[in-house]
Amino acid sequence: MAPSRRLYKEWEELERAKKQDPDISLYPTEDNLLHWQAKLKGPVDSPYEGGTFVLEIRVPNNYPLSAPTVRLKTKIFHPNIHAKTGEICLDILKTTWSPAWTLQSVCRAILVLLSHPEPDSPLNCDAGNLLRAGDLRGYRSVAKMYTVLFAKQE
Amino acid sequence: MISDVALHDSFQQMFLSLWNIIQGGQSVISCKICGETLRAPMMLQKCSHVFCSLCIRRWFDSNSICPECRVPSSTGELYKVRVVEDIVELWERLAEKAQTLNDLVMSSRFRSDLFSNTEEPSPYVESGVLNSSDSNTGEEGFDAVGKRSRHSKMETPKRKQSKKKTDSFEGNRSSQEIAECPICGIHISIRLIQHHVDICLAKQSSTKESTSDRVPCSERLNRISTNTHTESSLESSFEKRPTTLWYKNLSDKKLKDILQYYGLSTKGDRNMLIRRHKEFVFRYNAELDSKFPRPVSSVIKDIQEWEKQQEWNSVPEEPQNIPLESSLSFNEEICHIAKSDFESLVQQAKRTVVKKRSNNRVSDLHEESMNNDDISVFTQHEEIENF
Repeated sequence: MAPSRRLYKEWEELERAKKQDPDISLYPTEDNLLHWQAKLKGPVDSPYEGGTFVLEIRVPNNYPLSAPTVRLKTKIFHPNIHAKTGEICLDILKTTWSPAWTLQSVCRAILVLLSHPEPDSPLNCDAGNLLRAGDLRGYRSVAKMYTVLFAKQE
Repeated sequence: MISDVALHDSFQQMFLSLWNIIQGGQSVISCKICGETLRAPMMLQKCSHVFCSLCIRRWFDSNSICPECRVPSSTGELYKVRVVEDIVELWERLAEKAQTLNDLVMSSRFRSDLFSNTEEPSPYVESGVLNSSDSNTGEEGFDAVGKRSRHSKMETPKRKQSKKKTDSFEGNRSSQEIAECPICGIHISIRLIQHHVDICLAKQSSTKESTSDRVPCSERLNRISTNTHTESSLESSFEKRPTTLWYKNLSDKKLKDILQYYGLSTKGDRNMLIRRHKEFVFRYNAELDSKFPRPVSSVIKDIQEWEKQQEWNSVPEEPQNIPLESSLSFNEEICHIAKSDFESLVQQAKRTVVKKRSNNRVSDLHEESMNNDDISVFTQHEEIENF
């Protein structure tokens, strides 16, 4: 089962329902169906509001039996996203992946992660510590600064 | 009395709503794993979710939960659901017919758009007028209008008969000259035949590509009686139904013997042999689950194809394993900035180690000074760690 057939279906589905999800724009790059890019709009009422975050998605050869590799290309201050590599700590991308998920639902999950950070399993300890210490104001202001500096270029 | 165009229009609307329903049905009868129409659907015992046999077998090879609801489950809890298979088959036939009809509707829509451009007033109103007064305008009007009035005059007696014939409603409207499509045998107006044949040909080639070795639904239904015997031949082709094995306990030779027994190639390294055997087991069992299983030889052929694909796929995979750019550049950056600091720290550490050794040799003599040195080594180690 080549992954390209299923990816092509997903792409068709995305083209059909393009206006349904204005926060996510997802498309394959360089005519390669195994390499996708997504642009996410920062969720409202979060410090990421107003920013555009670029995701790089690489699809493995046995997709959908194993999860795609997702990386955030835009710099971000978030407890579950590595500040330098953009690696995302999300259970559905690691252990609890299920083939019923699609690339679009992965993007939605990441949007939810942006608005609901999980400080108990941090990849960015600074952000995690701020939240765990209860300094919500500090976390929000730094995250907002990152959004203004790095995510508002487009 | 309803005019031709109005009838045609209401037809279009009704058809389009039907078309939407059929399109919506696609998601209901497609597998959540591969996204395609269910093939040999299997239901999970606990949660009643349905997947393709092959897809769910592959998933259960490395996982033991339902892909949709995460209820713990395994291959042993799979059940065939023949009703779903029949429904899928029916839907496929329905969708096929609807597609032909949809192409016709779309082409006729395109045509009516053309008409509305050439004739300034709305064509719907005008055709009504023409029907009543075509004896006056028939000869002297524009060419297009003239044609229209003439053909609508000739159509009137036919219309009542054609009401129920959905296949040929387009032909009646546009022209009295009707031809038969050489591919699907549908009756259609000569003006549209070229367009229709193009669609037919494209569809034929696409279905041939995608389901090259599957029998068309209609034929399959005719062959039910003959097929029961092929199923038994597949079932009895091996004494035991092949299952995945505990590969760790198998020697290479045993594995090769097993593969040879099933008629599979024994090339490649151990991992490849194991993968080949697993894939064969999945495909063979999935074939058994389907209503009309194909013979073992075509399963083996499929596996050869699949291996070729895997090889082809694994070539562009290599550049993906290169570490991500930014992480690489970040490490380099840090190394560059802190190079001098690192070096001085390393040298300091080396010096203290040498000192410690020399102190060890003369430890009996200078107990006190050694204690001091130990502390200094400790603090410097701490410095490195802190950095």
